[in-house]
Amino acid sequence: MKAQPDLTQVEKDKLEINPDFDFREIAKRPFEDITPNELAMFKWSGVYHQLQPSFFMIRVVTPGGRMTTRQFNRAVDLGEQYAQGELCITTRQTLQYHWIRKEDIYKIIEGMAEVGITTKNGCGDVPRNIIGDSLAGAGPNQIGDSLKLIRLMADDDEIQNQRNLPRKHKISVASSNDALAQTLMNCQGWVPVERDGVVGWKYHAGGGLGARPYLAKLIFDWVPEELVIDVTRAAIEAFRRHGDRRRRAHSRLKVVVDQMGAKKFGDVLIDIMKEKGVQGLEQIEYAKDPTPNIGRMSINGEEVIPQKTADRSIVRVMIPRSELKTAQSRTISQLADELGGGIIMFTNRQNIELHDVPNENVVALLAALHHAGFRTAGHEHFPDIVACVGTTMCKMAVSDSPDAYHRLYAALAHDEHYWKSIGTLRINITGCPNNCAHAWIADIGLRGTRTRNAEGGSVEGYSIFVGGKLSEAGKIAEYLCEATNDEIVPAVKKILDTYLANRSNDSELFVDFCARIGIELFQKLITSE
Amino acid sequence: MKQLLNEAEELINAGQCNEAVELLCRQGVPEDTRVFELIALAHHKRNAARGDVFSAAVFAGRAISSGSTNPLMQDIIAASKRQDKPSDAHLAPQDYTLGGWNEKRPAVDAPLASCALSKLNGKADAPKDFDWLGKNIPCQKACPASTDIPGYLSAIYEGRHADAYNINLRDNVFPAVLGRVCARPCESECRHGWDGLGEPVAICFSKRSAADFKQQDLVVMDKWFAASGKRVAVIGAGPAGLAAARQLALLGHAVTVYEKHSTPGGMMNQGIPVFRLPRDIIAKEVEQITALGVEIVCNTEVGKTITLSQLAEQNDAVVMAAGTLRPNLLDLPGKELEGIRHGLDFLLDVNDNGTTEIGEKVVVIGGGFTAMDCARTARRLGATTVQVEEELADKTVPGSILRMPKGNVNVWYRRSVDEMLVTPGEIEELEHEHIPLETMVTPKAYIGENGKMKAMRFIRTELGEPDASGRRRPVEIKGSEFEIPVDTVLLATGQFPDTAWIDDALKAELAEEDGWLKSGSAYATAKDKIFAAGDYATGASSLIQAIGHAKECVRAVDQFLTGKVRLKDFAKIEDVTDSGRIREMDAVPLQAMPTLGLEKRDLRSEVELGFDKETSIDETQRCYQCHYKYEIDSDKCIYCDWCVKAKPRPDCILKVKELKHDDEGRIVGWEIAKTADEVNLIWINQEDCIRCGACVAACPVDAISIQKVSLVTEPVA
Repeated sequence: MKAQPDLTQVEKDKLEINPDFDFREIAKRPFEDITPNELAMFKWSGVYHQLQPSFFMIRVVTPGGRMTTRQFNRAVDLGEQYAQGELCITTRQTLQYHWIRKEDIYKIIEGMAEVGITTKNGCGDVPRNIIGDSLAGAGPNQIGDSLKLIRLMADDDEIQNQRNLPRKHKISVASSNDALAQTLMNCQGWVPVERDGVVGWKYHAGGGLGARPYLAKLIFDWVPEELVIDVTRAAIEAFRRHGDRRRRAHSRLKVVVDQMGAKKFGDVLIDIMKEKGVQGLEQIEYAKDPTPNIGRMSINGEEVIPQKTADRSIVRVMIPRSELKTAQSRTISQLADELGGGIIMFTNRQNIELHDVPNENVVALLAALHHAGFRTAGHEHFPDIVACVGTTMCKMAVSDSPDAYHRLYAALAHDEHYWKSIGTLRINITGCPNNCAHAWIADIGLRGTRTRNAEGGSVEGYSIFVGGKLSEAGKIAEYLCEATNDEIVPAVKKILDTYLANRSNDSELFVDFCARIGIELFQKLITSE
Repeated sequence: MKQLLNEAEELINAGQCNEAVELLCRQGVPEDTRVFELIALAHHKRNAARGDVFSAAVFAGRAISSGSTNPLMQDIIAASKRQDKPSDAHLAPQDYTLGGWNEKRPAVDAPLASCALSKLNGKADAPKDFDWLGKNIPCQKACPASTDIPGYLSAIYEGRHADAYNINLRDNVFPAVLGRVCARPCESECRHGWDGLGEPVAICFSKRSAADFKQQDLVVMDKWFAASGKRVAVIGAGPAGLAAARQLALLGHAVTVYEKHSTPGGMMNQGIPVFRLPRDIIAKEVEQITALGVEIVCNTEVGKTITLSQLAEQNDAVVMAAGTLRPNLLDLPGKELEGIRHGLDFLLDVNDNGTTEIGEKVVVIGGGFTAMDCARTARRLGATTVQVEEELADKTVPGSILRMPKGNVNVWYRRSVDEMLVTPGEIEELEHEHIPLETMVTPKAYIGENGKMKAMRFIRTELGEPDASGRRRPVEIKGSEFEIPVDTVLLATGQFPDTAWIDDALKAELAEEDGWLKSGSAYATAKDKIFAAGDYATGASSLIQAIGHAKECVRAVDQFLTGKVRLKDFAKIEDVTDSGRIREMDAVPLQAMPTLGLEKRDLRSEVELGFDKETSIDETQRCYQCHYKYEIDSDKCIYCDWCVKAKPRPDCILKVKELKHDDEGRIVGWEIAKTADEVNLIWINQEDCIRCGACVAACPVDAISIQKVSLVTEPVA
């Protein structure tokens, strides 16, 4: 008989190994008795074996990126006790612990569960932490209640108990038509629209970065709010049925949608909902044009943003390289309680926003933050660099992205005049093609690489991409040049100087400059002396 | 605690850094200054990658903040910091040259010494190209006729049996014949049969299926060149002679083959029994040669009807392909007794006449192709009345028409089974047909009574040092002599070329006194016009070896006739996007050849029945398709290691510090990098690659190309 494709090892493991491990039992089990297959399935509980043997990473799930200070305090306590006094903010608006011993995994999981935070679905081939934008529940332009939908999705059994999807699955729910919610790089992206006082949702699907990036297509122009959960479930079901389980590099929903096209994918969703007996499908309107049109980011460097509620504000705190030490965390938490509204919001640029700050406390809060050494200026500008953990702790990484972050930051973040003259600028540094730090959609994206030396050996460095964005129809950044790790600072400086010298006027944003001159000319400009 | 710290320090000093960290962590969350110091030290000492530099710095920092004054901790932190280049960066886009699986490569010289071949695409003919072919397609390399085995196996897999036959025909002249009786040197080299990878592909049986399932019309090949006006005589219509004749005809020469026997085919016809090789199969493939204009003159014995000198006069060249017909008879006491025959003579008799006289207790001496054929033929002779009772006594073979009583035909061989030169599967068939095989015995004397064979004396042997053939020499064990009753002895003890027929005018120039050619296995002889091909030059070998030798000989003849090299070998390189294989094909078991039941076996019925079409496809999917080259574009590679993580074998993808080349640019070795910075290439070691494609699937930047590389021989103007 002709050989038939069998299940891959990952697919077999997913069927054969129950991902709901008893980590108290794991704590007692000798490490050598844990099979590599089990170790891989730890991810379903948010637990990853770290690059350094003997240590684990644990990622929690914070739907929408919001925590109360009570929850945050618990996270900080556990970090101090078990994670070498440090927490890391992820690009999907949640927290990660590193340096956890096998014996302490259950302590983190149980400790966070006591304050209502789970690690289930933190990683693995499951729907991951559902994100939105950091302004959710507070921002001045909100339409509807995105946090309510996020909470519904996070609590929905059908969505959350998908433990065997072809690959990870990412959902975003925006609080307004704003690129801040990263709609176009998620598998499913919801954007609110209001018609005659009624809130409904635009539905996008098929975005995803990784090694081969895809931007989402607009599937439905209008989904009534009461059908949003049904459509979300149907898309997961469509993914389950149609995702390529054979080739992991091609298994995400982005490939399914790309191959089907927007209209057919919409049909598949409608058919699945019909199968399930979902009523009211005639209210769903197919997209007239699958090209998305996402609003440009509404925030641009503000330190304080007035909330929709007149007497409250959002105060924004920059967290260098996303690393929160215990003492800093306690300060933030204390200030959030004393001067803010007791709410901590993690942003997808790995920073923190304090929500519901009474307006009268804003000045004092800013002063206290500055006093404690926090920066509140420079968001969405040069100092606001995103970097993954790179080779410091990740098995997949090629380059030490935190190192590049620190050197860029040290070299240019303090030159306020310089970076203010540049204006809005998002630099994302990702250590490998997986693009956890989203280099594809940044103004300047650095992706880790090594380059062969003709004389021998190889040198760590970056491939530099420019001009990516998630607004309007979106744009994947284009390849500009290479830089070795010791050239990062001069390389970025040269790119920025080239932009400054050639932009049409002071208000031409970097991203618009890239689009106007085109990549070939940009390459010529930076390679010329 | 103190003891634990000491133990950990000892482990670090011994280079067991991971074990040290594990030990330190076992006691609780690291929070003690000395524990921090030691974890920092362990990672610092391991220093295999940036992760170690980082973790060393993290724990050094923890150590300092908890009160450590150890200066090494500061040093570790300082060493983790990198410096920026002060100068202006010289930025440049990467300039890709080779590209990944979905890119087209130009037919230009390969830009890097690390490239597997001398060109990126098209036709290449540098030493490194042929070196690659030889090392990477081991079956083709092992085949003396260089048949494109992956090429025809993939055609069979795709159901294109006729194409498969034609691919095979191009190189091996007799695909249907060799699909049955080839010695199969290819199979023992097959990558699938390497340690831990399973069984070799049944290349030979698959080849037969191509012949079985193609359209049954004659295949007449296109000639490479128009008529040259040159005439060539070939002596002997055996495998070598016919192969030489066909190649000469394709080159445009007029060829006449002289054969002393009544039918062409040589050893195929006169040696191999019909039950292994039906005669219509030979006839058809011979007809494909005569269809090219080759004239075969049978019943013409050179030396009698016409002399070599005359042939040389009348032709522009002569190829002697007279095979090995001079039997090697054992010079033992009693050699004059009745009942002793050479095996080839015996087989010829049976093949010509359908039967021959044979006694009741037959001994075959030897351990090669002829021995097997003699034994199995002898087993099929004899009186039917005798066998019925004998065979019925054995419940496993009721009604067998293997006529010689079970156990009355024996094969005796002086070395062990491992040294036997037989077609794979034949020893099993011997056993299946209940023919005892006795190894490690050597004959000492024929013992007679009234001038007839009565018994045979043997002595037991043990294996000593290898002899000239590379096989271990049998050494007699003193005092182990014994006798067995025998009335017929068949000597399958080898045969030599016969030069007795060469006329006196040429004999001194061409032949040694011992009857061998002076020119040895060379194609040319001392006489310009006269060449030698196949077993006649090399001594007895296999069909495929004779064909391979004859093909090469013809190149020399053609160059002699035309004064030019008119055939050229290339490595043909083609871009492909996918090999069409899935990994599960590797797990498909070797397909068994169906055989005729013992009760139906006789002198004429073919024992091996051939694969059915479906089985041929099942079997050929097992081929790794070694002609695919998986190669990393080292300009495009980002050294992420993901292919290394996905690799199925320990050495198929290597992190190389340096590749070693010889003067001709061939890659002859490598040095493995010890640290990340030392890695100059992530390099697919194609000799160890099993063509699974896991690396292509894993590569996130599409830096791995797949190309089909085939050995082609083409006429050149």
